[in-house]
Amino acid sequence: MSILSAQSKPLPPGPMQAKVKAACTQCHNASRITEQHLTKQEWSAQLDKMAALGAEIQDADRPAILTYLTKNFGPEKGSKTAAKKSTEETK
Amino acid sequence: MTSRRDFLRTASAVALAAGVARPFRAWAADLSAVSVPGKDGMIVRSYRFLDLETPVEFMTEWLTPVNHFFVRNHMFEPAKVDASKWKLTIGGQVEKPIVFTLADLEKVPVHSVTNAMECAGNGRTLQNPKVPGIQWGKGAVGNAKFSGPSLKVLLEKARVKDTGKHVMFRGLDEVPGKVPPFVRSIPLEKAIDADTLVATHMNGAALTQHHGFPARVITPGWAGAASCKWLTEITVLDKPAEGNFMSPGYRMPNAPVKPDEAVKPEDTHSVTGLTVKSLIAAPSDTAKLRPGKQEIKGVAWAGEADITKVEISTDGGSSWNLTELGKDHAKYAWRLWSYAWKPAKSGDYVILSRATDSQGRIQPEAAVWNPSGYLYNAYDQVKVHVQA
Ligand code: HEC
Repeated sequence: MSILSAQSKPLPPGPMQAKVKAACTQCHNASRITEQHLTKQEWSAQLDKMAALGAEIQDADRPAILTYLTKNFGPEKGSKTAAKKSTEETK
Repeated sequence: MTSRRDFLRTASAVALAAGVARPFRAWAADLSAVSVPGKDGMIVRSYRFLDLETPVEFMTEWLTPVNHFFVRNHMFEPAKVDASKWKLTIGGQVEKPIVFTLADLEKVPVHSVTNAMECAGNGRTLQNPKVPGIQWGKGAVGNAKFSGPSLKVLLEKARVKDTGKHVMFRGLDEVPGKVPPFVRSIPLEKAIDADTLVATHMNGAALTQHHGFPARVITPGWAGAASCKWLTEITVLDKPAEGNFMSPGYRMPNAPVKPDEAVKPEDTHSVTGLTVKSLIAAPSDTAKLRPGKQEIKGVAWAGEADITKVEISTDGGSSWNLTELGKDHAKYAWRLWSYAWKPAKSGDYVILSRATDSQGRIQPEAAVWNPSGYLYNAYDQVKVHVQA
């Protein structure tokens, strides 16, 4: 049995997995990231906040990191944001 | 739920948990065999930084045992403080800056307060849509007896000047990278309330490492962030402290906002006192029950106000029944409650709880959504199945 709920959900594979691990798990575990369900806009704000706290995010990597985070830790299906998104998309 | 909840059990890698780790230290990739000594049965919301949640099923006692009291850290816990070297300074807008050792504090009369302490972000994961931050379930709350000098007595020794309006606390937490220190302030009126403490003891024993050894602030009835751990510096200010943990941290919009609405800083206020709230400790969510008498029980608290009643609905909110409040009570403490229930027939039931306080506040059906997910206090709910 795994002991740590958030821990046992590792950073999923993808082109940015290694870079996110390097840039984002120095201060806290990946669980701080994997437990979130945020929109692209919110992830972008989190990246700015983390950069201000000392995270080193290369400008060249930022868009791909943002895509990776939003793809893997986006709003939950059935959440109000997700519902709103899909109605907007069908407009 | 139990399958999703992961308990700490094996004993190893103590240093990882205890915050002995230093910033930017290489981290073991496999944390699966890690435990937090003295914190058995807790839900690990985050390992580094350490955030431990109390399973709601544990909330059946008036005083939460220290090993089951939630832990919230914004950064690394300090290495274990050497009590003989520890010092507490009071400076800023005071006539006589002063330094206390632990031995000095022990000479000051002891005052005790039983305080239901809750993290401002407790219940955050129940917000819809989700918001960034520790995804606490229901259990970032506990009730303990804290003892130590009243902060007021210490401030009197330093003689606060007329210009002193706010009191700022700094703890010994260790900061990684450019992370700003965890400093916050409370207004002078709250600081000089006799019940605001520099606590050295919790439930009759010296504070443990995770709870701020050797001394922490207790700002009773307020969100936990006002109760700085590993206290080492008190600064009296002429205005509220600045910095990340005062703003944008721990602020809520003055009026409800929509999820994608921008909020101007001037339209927000600091989180201070807790709201009115109850939780159901038993039966557990998704429990399968036999027909016959059941005890529904839990806890309720209301920050600086008193709980006046807790009601239970077993029909999803159509009708409500008064519960019996526990004998133990104290200002700022939580109240146990219980209700004897005999389900009429087999089937699925939604049990709801709702508390009312001495200020007339009623726990609402839906909490006010806010961008940081603070002070979530919707009716508590468990679903059970009764089968013969
Ligand atoms: C310099 C240290 C540091 C680095 C590097 C860092 N973070 Fe953080 N992160 C923090 C701190 C401090 C917090 C706040 C912890 C708290 O208050 O509980 C935090 C919290 C978070 C949170 C939770 C949201 C919140 O506001 O509490 C998320 C999500 C997050 N970080 C994502 C990231 C990502 C993604 C990266 C990599 C780009 C990253 N972090 C790199 C220090 C860091």
